[in-house]
Amino acid sequence: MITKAMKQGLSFAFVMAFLVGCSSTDTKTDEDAAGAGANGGVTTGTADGGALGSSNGMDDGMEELDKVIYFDFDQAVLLPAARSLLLAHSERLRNSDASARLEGHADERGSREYNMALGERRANAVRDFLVLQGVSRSNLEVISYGEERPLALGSGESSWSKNRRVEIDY
Amino acid sequence: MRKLLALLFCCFVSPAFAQLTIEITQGVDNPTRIAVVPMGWGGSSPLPEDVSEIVSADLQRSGQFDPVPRTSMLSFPTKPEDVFYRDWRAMGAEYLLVSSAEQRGGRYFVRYDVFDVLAQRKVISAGKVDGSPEQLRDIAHHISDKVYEKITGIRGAFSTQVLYVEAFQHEQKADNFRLMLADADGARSRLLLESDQPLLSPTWSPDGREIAYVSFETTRPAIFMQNLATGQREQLTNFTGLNGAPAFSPDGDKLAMVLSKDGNPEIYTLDLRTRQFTRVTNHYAIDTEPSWTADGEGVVFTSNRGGKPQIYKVTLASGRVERLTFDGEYNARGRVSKDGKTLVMVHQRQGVFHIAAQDLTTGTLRILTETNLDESPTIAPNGAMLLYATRFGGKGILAAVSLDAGTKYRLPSKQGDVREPAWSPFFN
Amino acid sequence: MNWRSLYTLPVIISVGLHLILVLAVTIGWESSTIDPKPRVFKPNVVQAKLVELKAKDTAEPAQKKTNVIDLTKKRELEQQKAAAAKKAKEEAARKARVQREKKAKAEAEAERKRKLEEQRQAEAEAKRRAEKAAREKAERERQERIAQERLDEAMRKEEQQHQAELAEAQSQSYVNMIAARIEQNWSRPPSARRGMQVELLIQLVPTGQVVNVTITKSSGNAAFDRSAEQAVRRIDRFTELKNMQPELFEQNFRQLRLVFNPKDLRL
Repeated sequence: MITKAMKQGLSFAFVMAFLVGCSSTDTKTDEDAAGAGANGGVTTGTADGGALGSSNGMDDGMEELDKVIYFDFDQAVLLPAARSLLLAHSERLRNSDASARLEGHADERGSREYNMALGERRANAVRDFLVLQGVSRSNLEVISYGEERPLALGSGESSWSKNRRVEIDY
Repeated sequence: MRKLLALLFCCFVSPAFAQLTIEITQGVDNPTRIAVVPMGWGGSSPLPEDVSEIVSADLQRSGQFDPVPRTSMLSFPTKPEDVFYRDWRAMGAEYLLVSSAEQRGGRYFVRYDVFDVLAQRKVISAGKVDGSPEQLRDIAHHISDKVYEKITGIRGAFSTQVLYVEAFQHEQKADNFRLMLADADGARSRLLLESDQPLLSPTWSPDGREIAYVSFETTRPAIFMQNLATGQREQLTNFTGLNGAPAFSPDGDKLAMVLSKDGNPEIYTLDLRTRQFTRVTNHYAIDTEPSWTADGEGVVFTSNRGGKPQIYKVTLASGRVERLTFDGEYNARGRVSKDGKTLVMVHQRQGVFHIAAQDLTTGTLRILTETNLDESPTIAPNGAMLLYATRFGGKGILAAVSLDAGTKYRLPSKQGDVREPAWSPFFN
Repeated sequence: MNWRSLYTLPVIISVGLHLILVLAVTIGWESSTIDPKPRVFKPNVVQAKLVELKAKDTAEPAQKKTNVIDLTKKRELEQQKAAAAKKAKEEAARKARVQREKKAKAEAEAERKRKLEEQRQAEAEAKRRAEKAAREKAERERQERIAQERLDEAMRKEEQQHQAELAEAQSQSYVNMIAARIEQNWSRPPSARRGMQVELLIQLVPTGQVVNVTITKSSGNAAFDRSAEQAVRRIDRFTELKNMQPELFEQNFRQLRLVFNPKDLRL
């Protein structure tokens, strides 16, 4: 009896822990899904060489947006600070119908192939946010460079924090 | 009372001439003192390579030997009959290597003898090796292998090679990546592939003839296989997402890898004959860095399915997954030793990344390195040492440590950042 | 107890009595002398007493008999001389004188004899006593000696045991020293593993010098075997043994069996 109750309690705790663990992305996804719905979605379109076009578009007197989203160590969860920037990017991407390349990166710590996967996770997190904001998934290309292309050379948190990033290139 | 005592004592009189047995249960394990006498050579010009010096350096680097400096030698015998054991014993040498070379028809012929100075007898008699002038280093490594094996009881790995990546990166300049091949001592490095896009994860086929690696030359990661003798290369994968971490199975028939074509990084195997891909893992977390178990029946891999990266093992036949590491919050890129007993990995402790070895039977984990930012451990084919990448003086370098952590050395520094060593198998 | 002081008195007495006896014999006494020799070494006290009684019986009746004969002779002579008194008076007087003289002589003789006999008896008695004392003393000493020997034996054994224990303790300390020396000099190859075992037989000379090393049981790993042999050869001489007692060395250390069985290896 006791074991059964304990088992149930444990399973419940597990489920809760899992939900909590996913909540940071999930909550955003929910909010963004509502927003995306309000915008009526985006039709899939192809735009070969669209990246060049969008790059031109940025010169049209528009304020230049920061293109780098930062992450915590060994984390692929979007930080709250990235939200407004990503919203701005999603708006431009929606409007320009441009293709964007999302480059995921990691700092030099840990193993390289794991960091490669981690970089992809980060880029995926950005992509998922943008898609939920109505950006067409087919306009977004994800690539991870892991720790192979650091923004800042040198070892130390000041460099590492710059390198744990996703670069939005369009 | 006294009588009683006397009577009692009578019973205990020890038998005469009992064979005394002394049990020795401990030792000190000092490096073996060996004198490598300069090679005898009658040529008009000196040998293009100082073969004896290469042998001496090989043995020293292994950590198992403490070569006698030439300056301490009382004589330089080049023939067995010139050896006076007492001289060598006096300088503490336990072994003595005497050799001589001669040139015939453009080839060098070397004869060498190894003596047990303490027992005053030969342990290698009239060993012979020959090669072209370009192979003098190979001749030296061959002798090192034979001496090492005779004295340690372990096959020497001095004649093996190392793959590694050398990167030239500046914040304001274009990147340059080079896939390099060098002798196990770092000498005779040569370029295999150069790219302005990342190159990583080089690995050897078990016969040492093929290599596989990841190249971003197509602007996306892809796995390539390349024949070392012919230079012929082939792109094996071109999937969306990750195409990484290739690893040949022990029989050479399959290549394990990580692909994220289905959304999550998963472990796959590619049958190199049928070109059939088989998915091995299925989990929403990161699964990567596959490496075969010694028997080829399983694959160890890194996964953060428990929240943090840890090393797991999947049995291919059943698909059953078990977690192997429990010590610490970050264990990645496992490599199983050839005897299947040890797992080496990148292990984080107190924010510092070391190379650690875990005894797979007892589960005990030992940290092997004292450096920071250590990664990419690769075990020598004889299981005695491992190479890994670390940073020293602001640069990426390769370093070695014995699996008992007793010996450490750095490979000669290169111009760029050196990383991702892959120790070759035995070539014969 | 001092042996000499115990024997001095009896010896002096004995020698003195012998001297008297010899003197008596030289002046013509030829009475039955008792050969003392068979008695001296007879250890039986009872037999010696019997001999003593016999000696008394033979001596006394002889003396009485002479007295009786003398008295009857005297009475007969007085009756005969009553008839012829005058003539016989002188004769009688002479005879009486002679008789007196004879009697006196006989008495003197008897007295002398008696005295001699007494002396002899006293001598015999003294001798017997001395002999008895000597025998008893010898016996006592024998018993004491036996007891002493037993005690000595026990002590010797105890000492032996003690020595053996000491030797064992010494052996053990030498064994420890040898083991420590070898362990300090045993450098195992990296292929050495727990559970490997090699047995060596080494021969030493009393200086501690190793004169021979033989592998009697291989581990199967030549490098491991050689490392054990080298440990001994590197030491070359166990200088600790040079002060060892030779018997201990001969008994235990001329030849040693060494079992190399590493227990401190990780693998």
